[in-house]
Amino acid sequence: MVKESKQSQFNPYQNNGGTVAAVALGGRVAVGGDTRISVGYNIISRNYCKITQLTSKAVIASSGMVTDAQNLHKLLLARITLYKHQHGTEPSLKALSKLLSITLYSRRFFPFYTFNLLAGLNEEGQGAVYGYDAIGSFDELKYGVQGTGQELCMSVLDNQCKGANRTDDYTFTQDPVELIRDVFTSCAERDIYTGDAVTVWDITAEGIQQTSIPLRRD
Amino acid sequence: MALNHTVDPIIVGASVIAIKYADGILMCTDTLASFGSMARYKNIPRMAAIGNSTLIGASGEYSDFQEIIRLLREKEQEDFIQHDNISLSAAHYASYLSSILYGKRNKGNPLYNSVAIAGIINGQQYLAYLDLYGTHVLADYVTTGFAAHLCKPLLGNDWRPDLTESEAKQLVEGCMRTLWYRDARASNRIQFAKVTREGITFEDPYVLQSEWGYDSYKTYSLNPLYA
Amino acid sequence: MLFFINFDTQRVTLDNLIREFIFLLNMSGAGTGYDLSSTTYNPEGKVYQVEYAMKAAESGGSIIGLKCKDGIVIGGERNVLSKMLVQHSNKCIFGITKNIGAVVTGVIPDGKAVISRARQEATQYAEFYGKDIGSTVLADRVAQYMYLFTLYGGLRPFGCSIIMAGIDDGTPKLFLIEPSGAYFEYFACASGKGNQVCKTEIDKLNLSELTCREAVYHIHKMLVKSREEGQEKRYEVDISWMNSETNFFLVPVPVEFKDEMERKAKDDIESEERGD
Repeated sequence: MVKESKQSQFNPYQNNGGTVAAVALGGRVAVGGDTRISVGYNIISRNYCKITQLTSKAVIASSGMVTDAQNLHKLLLARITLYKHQHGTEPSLKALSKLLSITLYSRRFFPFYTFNLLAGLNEEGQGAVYGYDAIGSFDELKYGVQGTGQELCMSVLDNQCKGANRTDDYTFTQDPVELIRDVFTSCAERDIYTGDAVTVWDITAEGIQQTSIPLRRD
Repeated sequence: MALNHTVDPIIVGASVIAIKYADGILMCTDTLASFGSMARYKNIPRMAAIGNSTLIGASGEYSDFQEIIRLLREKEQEDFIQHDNISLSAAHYASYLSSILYGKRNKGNPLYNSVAIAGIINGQQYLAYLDLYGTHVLADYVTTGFAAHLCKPLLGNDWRPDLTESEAKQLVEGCMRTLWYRDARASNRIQFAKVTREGITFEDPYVLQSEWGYDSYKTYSLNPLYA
Repeated sequence: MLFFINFDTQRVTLDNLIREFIFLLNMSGAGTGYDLSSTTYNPEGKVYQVEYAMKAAESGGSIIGLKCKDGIVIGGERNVLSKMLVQHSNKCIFGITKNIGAVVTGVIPDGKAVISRARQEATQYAEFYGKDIGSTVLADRVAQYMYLFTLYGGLRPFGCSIIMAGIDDGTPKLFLIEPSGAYFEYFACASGKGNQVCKTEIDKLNLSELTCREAVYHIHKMLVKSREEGQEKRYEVDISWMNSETNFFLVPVPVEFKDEMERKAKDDIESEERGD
């Protein structure tokens, strides 16, 4: 007879909510993340940064579970330091994309509960975005969004960046930073887990610039 | 599943409140540890000093809190015996504890606590919130347990970075009173502690003033049938 | 096959012949066969490896421990082997818990290994019993650990002596642990190169009236006197203490005060010599 456990098992996972998005355009990529993290209906921080700089031209933005994201970022930074010591250079965006994939897959049977965007400039100086699932499947994208607000944002980005379902003769020329701000402002209107502020990292050949604008705080 | 895993807490402490104010950080807990609905230990401390610049307070499983204190004190002694006039700061302890908590949650055997860690680093206030998953968040005010629901809005309204000590105390005492009125696992016996540039000070626990004479307390229902 | 066996036997016999030859020439012990491992006594009932370890310990800088009226002070000196060494980067006093510490002489890396073990014992004790280890218990455990290294063929006894100081329930304690694993509790003790001179000087002190502050001065004085004359070697002195001033934690003596006492000790010795 199988003995049934009376006690419930500890659930190591939690969704802390939040949204991250990235848009690449030519030699530039803009990455945004809101600064709210929650547990259920409880907001545990209004100024938490979901984005970590990995190299001089690449950042990672993670939504999902904060503790896994923190430790994933820490692990990546350590691996990148080792890479720098071994090769004398920073890893390329492509190398990082694979590094992130295998790091996530190393926990295939106890996944990092994180949904990541890796964004930066590739070896040709072109802006690029990589989108991942929790266990390391990934693809190169022109734009991406992950987290609790992804359904709200994605169709707008499809329309604005790709020109999906448009009848006019459209090419995407808008400032990607502005686009991300607009998308987050709209997202915060309907997603309770997205709000407080959005931080946008603007990555160009000149370097990385960070700006922040407030969002709905309710 | 192994038997020694903490699946649900046994002896439990209720809320912790910690806020930054002009000269430091004020922390407050009640002195109760409950066993289910029983008020089991009515006069135990739920805050502790690590070295002379770090203050920690925890809600949740009390034995796990004691284990945390042991681990941090062990680290503190290891640091002290270097005799190098360099000491670990609250940020170091918070980071260390966060790694422990994360490691334990990865094993499915968490330390069942929500923790506030406060300290002064280079003259600046440092205040962090940690939970049983290893989540590590910096904040101007930290509330754990029921206080996260009942007191966070109060602090959101009235907290300012330039609060004086007595203003801060008044604000936090108000929060503790709210908890006493509405959190069934809270006690009216509370204790304050603070970290300032001068060090850590624990105050003696005392019993909160409360008023139960209002009509709404005496009259249990608005329905005259049950009044 | 046969060839190898023959060859082997021949070598062993040759070895034995050489050993016997040396034994006849030299009765000091070296080369008699008794000094190669600590598993065998020599005919006098001693273990040469342990004797050698003692010798190694005695060849290090002098170390001193003094139990005073108001606390306890330990100190030691180390030769500085190069001008290029960063000052005070190589201490001979080590903390074990907040109120237990030790000063080491002899082969310093050996001492560090022992200290590391002492720290493990201390943390393990604290974890198990929920209170800090006492220095009496710790000295015993450390001595047992050092003793173990005098028993086995594959091990080399520690080439260091250790003076351990601690406070057990408010009572200052001082122990000297030797490479043999022997340890005794003292009011005051010394080991290392100049231990004879130091012990003579210690005998002149009135320990029951001595304060920690005075002890710092005396330790400096003993260390200067015990130093070999005419040799202008570079050295550094470490002194740590435990008393009400330090909350009964073992901490290094403040540098200004230590330097002041060192100057005073040297001046006094000079004027004593001039007076004679």
